[in-house]
Amino acid sequence: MSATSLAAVGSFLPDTDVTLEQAATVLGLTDQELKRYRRFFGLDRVRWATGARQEDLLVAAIGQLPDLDAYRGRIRYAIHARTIEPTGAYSSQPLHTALARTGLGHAQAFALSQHACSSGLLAVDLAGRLLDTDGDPDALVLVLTGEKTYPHVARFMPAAMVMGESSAACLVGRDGERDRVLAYTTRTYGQFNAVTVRSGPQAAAFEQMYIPGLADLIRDTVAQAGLTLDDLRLVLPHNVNRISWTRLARLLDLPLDRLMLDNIARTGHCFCADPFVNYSRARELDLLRPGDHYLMASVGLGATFSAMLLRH
Amino acid sequence: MLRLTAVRHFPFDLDDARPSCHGLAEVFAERLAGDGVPADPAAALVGNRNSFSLMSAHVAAQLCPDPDVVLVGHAAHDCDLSTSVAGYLQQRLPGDPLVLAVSEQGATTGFAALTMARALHDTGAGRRILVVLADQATFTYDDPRLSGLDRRRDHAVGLLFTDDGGTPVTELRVLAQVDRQSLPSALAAAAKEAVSAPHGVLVAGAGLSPADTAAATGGQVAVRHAAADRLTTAVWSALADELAAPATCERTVVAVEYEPDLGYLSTLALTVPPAPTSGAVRD
Repeated sequence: MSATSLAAVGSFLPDTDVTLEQAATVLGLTDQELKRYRRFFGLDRVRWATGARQEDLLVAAIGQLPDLDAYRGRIRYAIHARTIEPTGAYSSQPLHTALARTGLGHAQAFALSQHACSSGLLAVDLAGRLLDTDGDPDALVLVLTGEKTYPHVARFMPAAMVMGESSAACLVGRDGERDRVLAYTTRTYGQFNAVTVRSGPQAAAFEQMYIPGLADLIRDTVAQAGLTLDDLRLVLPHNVNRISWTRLARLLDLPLDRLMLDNIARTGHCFCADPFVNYSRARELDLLRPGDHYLMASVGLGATFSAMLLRH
Repeated sequence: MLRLTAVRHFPFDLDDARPSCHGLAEVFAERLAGDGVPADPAAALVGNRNSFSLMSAHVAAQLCPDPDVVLVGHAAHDCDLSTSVAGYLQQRLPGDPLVLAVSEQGATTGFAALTMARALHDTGAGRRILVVLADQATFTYDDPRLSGLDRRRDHAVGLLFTDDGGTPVTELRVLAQVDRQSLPSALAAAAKEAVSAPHGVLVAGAGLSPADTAAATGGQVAVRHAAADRLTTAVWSALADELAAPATCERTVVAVEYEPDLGYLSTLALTVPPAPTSGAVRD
């Protein structure tokens, strides 16, 4: 296999900045939950695209891709990586509408799911595999992430009830010079397949294995690339909460400044988009230098843990 | 190259021993509000309660109990959004299979799933790849594109690909932006492998009328038309029937489906060995 690489990443942060208190009113959170989310989880605000539909989030993300016109003709596939499988009206087809609106109707398009919030990293890996069998060395895959949130999501995602609507577009190519994928690891713990379980022994067991399980996965991914944790310049996490990442950093003996946690309080957890939104933020803050190794990590309910190691 | 080992259609009757799909109507009422589609959150659901998890597990048990990869393809939603299909299968299957789902390409979603299956196979992700295409009939809203569906049963079609499969896939092609005007020439090109073969068969999905296929083939090959009562499995169950039929000589079988609303025309061509008494690739 040739090396999968990210040719470009664009992230869309909606204009509407919603405080945790405002979100709590909409989502029906109790005062106690609100305190817990702010104090322990480090949540503060999220971005919501009020009035926007799913297709609008995708169009906005595509619009953030630098040099889209230069890439357009090379985009052969488009994948919408989803946390929750499509649940709109059958006729609505937001992915195809978004592609038509952005002049990308020629791309073969489909949605990918069942790794929940880690479906985005799966999509990057699969994009590389698609390109390996495509035959055109210049072909690209557009990986789209980001979803609308609704009150019922709170019932599906008890660990992070306040979700954001930021979205991202990522162009995946082969053998590019920038952001090469060195390793990808994914692990599903099938005993946690009931995604709405919020209490009881299963929920407790998941909570207990969450940090050690993620730590193991990160260690294995780094080792698979022939590196050590010391080689990591940055970890781009999913923005589920601050406390779990802080504990994970302690367990891995990783300095906290190697974790990009800024967006937890700024955008909240945005389904599959977090690693890409965080990548854009890291570039804005000039946190990645050529040759730096960084790791994207996500955990999806169900329960799938995924990590991807890249070299900038 | 993908090599087909088995293909089989599994109908599922109402499973009334299972609880109804709790919460589904509420979820859809929220989601459809933005589309202006009415859905009553308190409506009693009518459906057969066969989730993608249950159907996929059943298909795996029948066709391949130890797959390396399970790829679930579906055009519409699941009736159980509270169970991770990946987790459910991972817990029940041996080893550590990669499980994922492909959707949102309407009637041609199965071809998108096969495209992904080919990429996984050709890049070494697995030697036993099980593709499960699923249609379930629990809907909480009315949609003109859902009229005429079989609401009495749910359906799955399993396609198993292994390195020693006896039926090689000689072509898999997905064309986008095929409108009604360009369909005749695109379909003629898609059917060419069947038309030019000594013993060719075209298996046509419900998006193609007998007039479409007659024009494309000039009446030179046998054409089997799929039922029109399912979203994404019908062409594959028709393919399963075709491959199960006895044949004394090698056949070139081309499955083709057209998704008119999205403009996709997709083709799968197989070289099927003779099977004098029973189908070579049923299971």
